[in-house]
Amino acid sequence: MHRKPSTAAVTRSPAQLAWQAESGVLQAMGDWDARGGGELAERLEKWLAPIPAGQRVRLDSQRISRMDTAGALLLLQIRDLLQARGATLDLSSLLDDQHELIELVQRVGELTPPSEPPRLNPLQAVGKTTLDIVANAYDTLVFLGEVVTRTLPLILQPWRLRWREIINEIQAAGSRSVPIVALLTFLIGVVIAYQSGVTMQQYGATVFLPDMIGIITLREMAPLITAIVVAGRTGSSYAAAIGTMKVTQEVDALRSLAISPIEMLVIPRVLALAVALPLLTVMAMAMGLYGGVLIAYEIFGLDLNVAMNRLGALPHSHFWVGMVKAPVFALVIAMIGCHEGMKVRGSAADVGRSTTSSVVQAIFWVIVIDAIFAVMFSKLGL
Amino acid sequence: MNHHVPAQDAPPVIEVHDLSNRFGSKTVHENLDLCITKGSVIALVGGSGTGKTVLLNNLVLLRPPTTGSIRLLGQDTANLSYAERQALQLRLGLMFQMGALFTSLSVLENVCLPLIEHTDLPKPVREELAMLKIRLAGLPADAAHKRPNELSGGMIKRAALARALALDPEILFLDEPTSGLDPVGARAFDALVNELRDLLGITVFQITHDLDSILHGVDKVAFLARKRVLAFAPAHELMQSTEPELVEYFNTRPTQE
Ligand SMILES: Nc1ncnc2c1ncn2[C@@H]1O[C@H](COP(=O)(O)OP(=O)(O)OP(=O)(O)O)[C@@H](O)[C@H]1O
Ligand SMILES: [Mg+2]
Repeated sequence: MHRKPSTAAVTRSPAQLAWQAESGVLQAMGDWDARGGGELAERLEKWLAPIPAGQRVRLDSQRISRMDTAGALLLLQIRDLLQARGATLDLSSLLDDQHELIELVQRVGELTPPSEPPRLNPLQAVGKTTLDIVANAYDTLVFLGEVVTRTLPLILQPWRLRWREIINEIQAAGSRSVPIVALLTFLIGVVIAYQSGVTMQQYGATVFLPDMIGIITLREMAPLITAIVVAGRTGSSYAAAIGTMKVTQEVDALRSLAISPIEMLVIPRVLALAVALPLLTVMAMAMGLYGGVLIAYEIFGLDLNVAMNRLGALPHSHFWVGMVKAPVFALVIAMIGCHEGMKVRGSAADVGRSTTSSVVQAIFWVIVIDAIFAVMFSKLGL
Repeated sequence: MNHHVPAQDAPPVIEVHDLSNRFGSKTVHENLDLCITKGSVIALVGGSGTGKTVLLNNLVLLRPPTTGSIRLLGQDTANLSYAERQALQLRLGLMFQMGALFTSLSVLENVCLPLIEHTDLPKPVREELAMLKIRLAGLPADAAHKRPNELSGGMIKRAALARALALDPEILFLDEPTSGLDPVGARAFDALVNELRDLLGITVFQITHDLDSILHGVDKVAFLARKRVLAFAPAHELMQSTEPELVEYFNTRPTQE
């Protein structure tokens, strides 16, 4: 079959104007469309500069190779510019379809976009920001209250909990985090043991290495590292998942089906993390101790039996101090993630912002709460 | 409405030959052929799930067909380089079934985006051109600074049309443009599409379930059934057909005594 290459391989030539002073003709050439008109539109004033005021200009459009609404818009702008200088533009020699395009543009009328809603003045902006912060704090409290008041009755009637979702979330947050948490805590255990071992060796005190590793790992390192990894990995995914559901109106759909989004989306995640994070922490403790003892034995030549005895002689409170923190961290991370997700309004960019914010806030609060615990436990003498 | 039927010798702009689409073992299209000439307004109709959106995605180069060839504007789409593909895509306008507006941009910014990316027009001209398309699509001027989440369903359709028209495409693809519009708005939309065709020589390819559009707003109807284009003719001819699928679709079963 024969095919014209007509529309496929066309060369483009930008829109141009040529002013013929003696005949009073303004000749238009080239592609008067959105892609060809840029250069001309940029320097329209300059192109029209040689035309004297009061001149009657006739437009010759024979050599326009193509025209679309952008070209028509440009022609009308040229007419307005000339009119502003007391000259007139005669468009009567336009081709029929060019004329129809001009009419189409003219029919729409006013084209300047309406002015944007006015910006706030600085004082108003400060006021608005303050009110936003207060409203945000209030929102957070409402959210917290709603989650708590809805969780308590469910805890008393555990058969009403959404076990399937909870188990799925435990798997997503817990078992899939095992490799990274295990590797990180093992490595940090190794580093702590090695760094402190070198100093202790100078005093011949390497026998205390297990005490040191045990206390640091159990009380601080394992719970903190686990919480930070989970905040980055799981807290962010809660915010992104719930935020996307807000954008696609899935959350509204749940409400319209009389299903509480808090019960369906938030509570299973909070409970799942409250189970998964302590379990991860136990494993993190084991891996940290393993890494530390391995170094004590391999590098500093500590007898394994001695090491195990010293670890075993540590008061149990160290373990419990670490374990008490884990569920608190879990609640903080899950609540922040879910709340950030629920705060998303409308746009995809909001989801990104909320996800970032959930990680930053979760890590911030995990460290602050850890510090509060440290002060509290030292007052209690634990 | 101007029932200007394009000349029979107008060049073809969409040529589909022997196309098939499969998802795993599920065949959606098989040996599908279609040829559309320049300047016509075509409706693609068929029951839900017959693969209208899939075919549209093939035609706008978003999803290659499993087998078969597609020529758009005289160019074979099978072995395009990246640059050729981009150049071709600029000549196609697509309005998505759900609008697919960029949620973080206002309506005006949505329409301006292709102009910013692909033209050198200065900002005031760009914005006027965008406003032209916004007004042409039937939106009030004060919608320009609204975000998509502040628009009604019908306004989202119109904003999406405005964005599809931003670069004055040569083929305009519309996925269910009039669903979600009120009847008056839907007829005005059909009139607008026909006017754009007359003025700009655009070829319009729309998926629709709107019987009024099918009967009065388009030149020819491509009817999708049995995994191919079962019939391709003006609506009034399809109404005469005795193919069971067509009879069922148009509900023209003759009442026999
Ligand atoms: N990505 C995909 N993977 C598997 N199957 C798909 C995919 N996309 C579409 N399908 C199948 O192809 C068929 C056609 O889908 P399509 O969305 O094109 O329907 P449609 O004709 O546009 O329907 P509607 O009128 O409801 O919009 C459906 O059966 C659908 O399940
Ligand atoms: Mg569809």
